[in-house]
Amino acid sequence: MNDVPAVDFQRFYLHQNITDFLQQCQVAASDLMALSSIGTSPEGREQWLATITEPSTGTADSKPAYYVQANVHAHEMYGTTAALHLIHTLLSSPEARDLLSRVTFYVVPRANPDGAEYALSTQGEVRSRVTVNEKINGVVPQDLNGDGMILNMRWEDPAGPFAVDPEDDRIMMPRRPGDSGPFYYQCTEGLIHDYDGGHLRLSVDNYDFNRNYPIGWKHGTDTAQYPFANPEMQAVGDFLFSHPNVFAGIDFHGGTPAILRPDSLADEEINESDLELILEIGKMGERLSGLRLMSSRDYRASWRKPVVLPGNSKDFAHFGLGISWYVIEVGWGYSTAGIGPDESFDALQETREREFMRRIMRFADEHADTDARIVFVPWEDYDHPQLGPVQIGGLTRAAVSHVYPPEMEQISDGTTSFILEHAAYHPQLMLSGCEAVRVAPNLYRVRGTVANIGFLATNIMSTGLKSRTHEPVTVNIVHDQGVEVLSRPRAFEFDALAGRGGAQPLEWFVSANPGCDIAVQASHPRGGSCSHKLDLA
Amino acid sequence: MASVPDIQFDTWYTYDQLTAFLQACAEARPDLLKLDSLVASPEGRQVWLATLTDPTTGAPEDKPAYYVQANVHARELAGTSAALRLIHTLLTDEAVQARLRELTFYVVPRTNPDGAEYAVTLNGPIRSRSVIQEKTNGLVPQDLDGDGKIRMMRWEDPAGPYVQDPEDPRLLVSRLPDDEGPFFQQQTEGLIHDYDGRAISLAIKSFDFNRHYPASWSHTVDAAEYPLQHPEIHAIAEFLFEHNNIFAGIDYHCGTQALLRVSGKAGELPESDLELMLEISAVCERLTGLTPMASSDYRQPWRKPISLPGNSDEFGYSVLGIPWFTIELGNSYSSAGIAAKDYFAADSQTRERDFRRQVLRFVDENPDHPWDWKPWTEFDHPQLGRVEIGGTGSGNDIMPHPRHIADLSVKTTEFILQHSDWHPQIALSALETIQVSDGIYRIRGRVANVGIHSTNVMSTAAASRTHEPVCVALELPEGVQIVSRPATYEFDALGPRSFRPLEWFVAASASAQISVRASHPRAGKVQVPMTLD
Repeated sequence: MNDVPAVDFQRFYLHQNITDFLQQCQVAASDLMALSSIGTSPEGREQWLATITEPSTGTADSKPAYYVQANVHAHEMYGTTAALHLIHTLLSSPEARDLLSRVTFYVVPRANPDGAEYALSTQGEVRSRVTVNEKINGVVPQDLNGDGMILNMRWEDPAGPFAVDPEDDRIMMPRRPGDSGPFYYQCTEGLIHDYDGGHLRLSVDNYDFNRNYPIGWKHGTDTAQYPFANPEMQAVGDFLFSHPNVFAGIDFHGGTPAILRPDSLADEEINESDLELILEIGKMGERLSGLRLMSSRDYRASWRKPVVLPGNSKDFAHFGLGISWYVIEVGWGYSTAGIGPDESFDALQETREREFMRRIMRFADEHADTDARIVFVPWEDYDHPQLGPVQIGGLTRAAVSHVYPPEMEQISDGTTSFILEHAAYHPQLMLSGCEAVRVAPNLYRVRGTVANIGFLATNIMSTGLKSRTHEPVTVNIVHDQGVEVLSRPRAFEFDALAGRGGAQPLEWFVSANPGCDIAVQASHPRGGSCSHKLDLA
Repeated sequence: MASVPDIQFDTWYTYDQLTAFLQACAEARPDLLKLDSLVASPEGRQVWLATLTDPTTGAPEDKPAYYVQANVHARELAGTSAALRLIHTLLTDEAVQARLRELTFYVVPRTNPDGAEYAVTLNGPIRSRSVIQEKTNGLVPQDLDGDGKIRMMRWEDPAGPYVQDPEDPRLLVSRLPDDEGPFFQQQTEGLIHDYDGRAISLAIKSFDFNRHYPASWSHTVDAAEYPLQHPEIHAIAEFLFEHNNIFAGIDYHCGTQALLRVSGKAGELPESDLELMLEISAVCERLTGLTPMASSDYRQPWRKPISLPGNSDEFGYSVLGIPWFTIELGNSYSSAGIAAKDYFAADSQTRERDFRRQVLRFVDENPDHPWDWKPWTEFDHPQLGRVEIGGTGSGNDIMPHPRHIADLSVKTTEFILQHSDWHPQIALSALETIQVSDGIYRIRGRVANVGIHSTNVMSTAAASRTHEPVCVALELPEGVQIVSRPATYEFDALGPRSFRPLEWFVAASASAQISVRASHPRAGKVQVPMTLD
């Protein structure tokens, strides 16, 4: 059809690969897609934004918009693959054309380009960003042996907390009664700041961007000093606040596979009609993607307390923006090796540390030919300037954190199907019954009804009414000179219109000469615009 | 040589007057005061920071520091004057100045210069920042009659909600069943955007900077999109995070007189923190007469506890981990002799009628009051027709009489100075060294906090981004090495009047001069030389 590049499911995308892919998309589908950036990362990488819509029916910002972001967490770079799959589908599938005439898609395939690059290149431990903080006896993660990766260092010690798995000697596991030596200390590969022989600790601040949103934010759970202190997240926030046409969104993550719905804030209950909507759309997503719908509160072992994630994207989107938003956890090292949610949640330490790790390594062995992941690097002797002889290598972060790349093809099919169906739930304004009746010479009464025939209300959720992005539905009469609106209000403003037929009556008294034409025009950022011309007879 | 200028208490400071005052102080005492700008406001005014310390005893960031800010709310201009009193006292009173050898004072006399300028010149409606939002029937405050102020407009309407006060016809009050007409509509002086005769509302998006800090921030209370979006408060927060030598903060406001501390019912705050805040509050009450209150109680007694999400007391205590108080300096009611508890206990009719009459009587008896009331004067409004413009501007209720601020600021300054002595203080003691073997020396000692606060000050400081441990290290010449561990001691915190033991084993081939250095941002630095021989 066109030369939209195919998505690569064999490996994950480095930043340059994403840039190339998106630029090729824009060239191949320049009518549908515009490429821009919502911000530049501290290391100078663009947070690319693909804006996709059918231009003949209106500009991107005049239509309801669906927002997708991925890879806020550095090691969850396969979310980028799912986002690129969506872009590919939108640009090359004929079925998407109709949707694109009514909806704009804003897709940020890599919200955290610096973190992702660090994770993919070095395998270093990072949630979203790590910065060095120079603690005494602090290990500063670095590649010491020149293999380009930040792995593990181990050295023998009878008091060491780790033993080698007798079944698979690649696996280091926390020691248990009955384990036999040798035992090891293990830490991140790196040099030690201000080493005096004391106990080692990690000398980094590890930032989680998904605790950096302003709703429910707590300084105790975010390493950053205040909400949106991370420039990448401020760029996301500024974009969403300045685009009140966004009515729904997806935040791609990696972890135990699930579709996560907004949870309650600590002292707030979710409004019942909002909850019903969240469940209905979420269940539809479950059906189309095969991923289980869960609240984050339950995203844990059954014996744990409900999980609270202060400052996360779902609470921001639901309570702060009032839109329909889900986090999609596409999977990770455990699920890709066949360990599903039920098994994964309720497993206790011994199972997680031993049986699961063995299954992960077996899966990797069986798929070695087609698996671009590096899950294990053989231990290599190294003479550490401070610790003396150590070994560098071991299991990488990929083993636990990354899915087997080819699995993303089937996962993306499911998530893209969900997104396309979800996007069709947009509010949609229409005008009906518009007529102008002459009540006196040069005086006309104009009547009509403005309705929202879309599934979602213009405010989407009840929380949307208090959002900074809340805007009323406006209806006015567009006319030439010589026409005057005599009644009030001249322009109607309705706080919101409910979905599936929410409607309001309209009436104006207008002075005009016969033969003039006027138009009734209704608009809302999320409901789109529509107009109806009337000839004044 | 220039001298420190006197503070003007007869009027409130404009931006230019404030800038001139601070620059004159910096010229008069460049040894003690450095003037910097934290940030430029959206309208291009500097948020001035005065840093006061005696540089001969150390750099400002190397000493425990006390922070004072004022005028976050635009109309609360008296706070600026009170903050300047502190600067003036530190620069001119030699007994007080001795503190500057040990301490640093950071003073931001006007955190919100744009809002303050609008208030001091036009006196229009504004909390911290007002942004015009044109909407149908939206009233845009403006000076229509050219008198340089934004006052009120009134016009007769049998359905109007206001009536002239039967006792003092200068006042418009809410109508009551017994009132006789004429009745009035009343709005802020200004033009109405797209007026079609329906209900008028202010065409303003109003921002309150004291709901804007990242502590219990609420998006339904703060009009901004997220905390620290306003550059002024963003710059202040960044400054406070970076300067973790700050051990206490004061935020000057104007309102019913009180000393406000962070909200927290009994049982919600850790007892040790609450006890410390109550002790400090008691000192303030003794010196100033201001009643200490939790900010949740700053209301009429029959109301629910009020919540002030994102306010500075919450930020100072919960996020920075320091004692932080809001000083409410008073308002026109306090100046007219209405005590705080009487104001809180009064019902709305008493407030609206009796108290406002009392204020006007006070103004009549004190013609030097900057309160500015204009008789209702006819005006031909382009949209409303015949109206009357007059009355007072929006800020007058909040403005105390300058003479009262002149007095009260002496007392609040005294409180601040006494409170500033309550800081942690590092000391080294019992330092000794003996040679234990050929070329090996053992060094022992104690590091202590001889101050009245923990280095953490509040328990919340332990988890704060501002937290730092107490560090004790040896300064050694070449050829001398530490052979024991730890080489550098780190203590998470040192409580008041407590100590920790120190011990090092050191290898030195010959006699050497070393020193022991102990420091904590809020407790200062101390360095003691020792000889190994």
